[in-house]
Amino acid sequence: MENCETSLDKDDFNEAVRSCADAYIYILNEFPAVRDALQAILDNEIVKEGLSTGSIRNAPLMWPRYGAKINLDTDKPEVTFDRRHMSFVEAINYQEFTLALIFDVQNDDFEVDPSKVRSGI
Amino acid sequence: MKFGLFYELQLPKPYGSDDWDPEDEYRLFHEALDQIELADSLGFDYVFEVEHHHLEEYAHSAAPEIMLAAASQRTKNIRLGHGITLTPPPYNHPGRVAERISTLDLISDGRVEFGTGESSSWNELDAYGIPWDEKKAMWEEGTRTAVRMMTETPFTGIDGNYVQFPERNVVPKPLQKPHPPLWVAGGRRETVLTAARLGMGSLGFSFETPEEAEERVNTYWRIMREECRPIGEAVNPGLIVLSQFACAPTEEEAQRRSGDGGAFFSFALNHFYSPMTGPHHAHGRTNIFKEFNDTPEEERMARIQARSQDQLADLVRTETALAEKEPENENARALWRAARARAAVGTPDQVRDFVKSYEDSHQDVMLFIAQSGSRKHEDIMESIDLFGRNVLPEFKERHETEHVKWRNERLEQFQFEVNSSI
Repeated sequence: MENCETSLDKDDFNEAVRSCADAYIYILNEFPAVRDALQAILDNEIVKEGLSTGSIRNAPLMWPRYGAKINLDTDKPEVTFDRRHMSFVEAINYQEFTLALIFDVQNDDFEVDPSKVRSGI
Repeated sequence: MKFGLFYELQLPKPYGSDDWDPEDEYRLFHEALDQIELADSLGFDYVFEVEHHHLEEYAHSAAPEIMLAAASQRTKNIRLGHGITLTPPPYNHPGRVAERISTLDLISDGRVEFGTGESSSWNELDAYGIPWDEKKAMWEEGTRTAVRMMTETPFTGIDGNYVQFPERNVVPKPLQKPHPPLWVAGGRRETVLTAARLGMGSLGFSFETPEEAEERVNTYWRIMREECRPIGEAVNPGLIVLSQFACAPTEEEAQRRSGDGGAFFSFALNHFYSPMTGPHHAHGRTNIFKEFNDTPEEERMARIQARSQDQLADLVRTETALAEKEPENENARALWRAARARAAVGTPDQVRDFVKSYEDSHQDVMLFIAQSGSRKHEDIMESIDLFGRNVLPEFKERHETEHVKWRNERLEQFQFEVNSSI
C-alpha cells in the first residue's frame, strides 16, 4: 500500500491499482477464511444476478469491478486491465477498498452475512 | 446549517391505470416551481434537482437545467443546484454541460451549484451505452473536461479516453469565478472520501444518522486538508444530507401530510436500483405505485430491508427490525438508513430537534425531500411555510454566527482557492 501511495503521487494510476490488486490477492491467499467469506458473497443470488447482467460493481469483500479485474478461478490470480489507463478516481477507490479490507482483516471483522446483500451499484 | 429542497419530481401512476392523466406532469412541474418560489421567499438557501432518465414514477426530472432556469426567473436568492448533472459523456457532452452551466449562472446572477454524478440504474446506463465498470472513469473525464472548458480561454483541447475535442474557446463563461461550486453525488463512504480528495462538496444520498454524519464530517475535512488534489480550480468544502420532510401544527397532521412519501420513495428507488427488478422493469407498463400498494408491508421490508422514515415509531417497536444488521451493499444500506434515520417529519418543535442534531455534527446543508410519493401540493406548501417561518430563522442566525466561524477556522488551513456558497 506504500507503493500504491507513491504511485498515486507520481500519477501512475495503473501501478497504484496493481499494488492494491497484489495486496488483495495476498490477503485471499494468506487468509482462507476471507476467501471463504468472499465465496459466500459471490454465491448470493443478487450478486450473481448483478454480475451476470453487469449491473453490480461493489459487494462486500469483492474486488470492485471498475477498470481492473481479477480472475480468481485460476491457480495464480492476477490483475488484468480493461483499458490502457486507469483514472485517478478509480485508483483512489481501489485504494480505499483495499485499505478498508486490510483494516477489517486485521480486526478480524470481515465476516458478512450474505443474506444481507440486497443490491449493489 | 443551511436548508434547501430536493426534487426528484415523483409522479406515482394512478392506482388503477397504466398511464397518468394528461395534466399530471404539467401540474407536477408547475407546482414544484410554486414550492421553490415560496421557499425562496422564506429564506431557504438551496434547491437541488436530480437528472434521471426513464425512471418513470420515481423521477421525472430529466432536464433539470430547464427547471432551474425557470426557477431562476421566479426567485431572487435561492441557489440553483444540479443534484446532479450526469457527466459521463454519453449522457451529456462536457462541452454542452459547460455551456449550460455557464448560461444558467449568467441568467441567475451567479446562483448555480454544479453537482455531478455517474448515475447508477441499469435503465439509464444501458440505454445510453455506458458500461458499469467504466462509468466512474467517464464521470471523472467528463467532469474535468467541463470544468476546464469553463475556465480555460481558450480551452486547449482534449484527446481523452472518452472525449476528443479540439481547441475552442467555449463560451459563455460562468459568472462565478473560477467556476460554480463543485459537488459530487454518492451514498457510499468511498464516494464521500473521493469528494474530499477532489476538493468537491459531497451530496450525500446515504441518509446518515447524526453520529455517522459527525464521523464523516471529521474524515472529510481532514482528507480535504491533507490529501486534496482539486478537480477544478477552486475547492468547495461542503457536506449535504437528505431527509424526508413534512411539517404541521400537530404530529398527527404531519404524519398525514407525509403520507406514503417516504415509503414510496424507498420502494421505487429499490425497484429501479436493485439488480433483481431494475433490468426487468416493463417500460411504460409497470405501475410501481400499484405494486407498492399491493405489496404487504412485510414483503416490502423483505425486498428493501427498510421501512419508511415516516414509520419510525413502528420500527422502534419492532425488535426484529432493530436487531437487523445494516446491509453491506450501498443501495440497500441507503434505503435501510433512510428507514432507520429519523426524519424531518413532525411539528416545528420536533423537526427543530431533529435537524439540530445534524447542526451539532457540523453538517453544512440539509435538503428536504418534500415532494415525494403522493403528497399533496397544498400540504407541501404549508409544510415549507411552517418550517420557514418558525424554525429556519434561528438556524440561519446560528449559521452565520457559529458555523461560518467553525468553517473559517478550518479553511485557514487550506492551501487552495475556495469557492463555496456555504
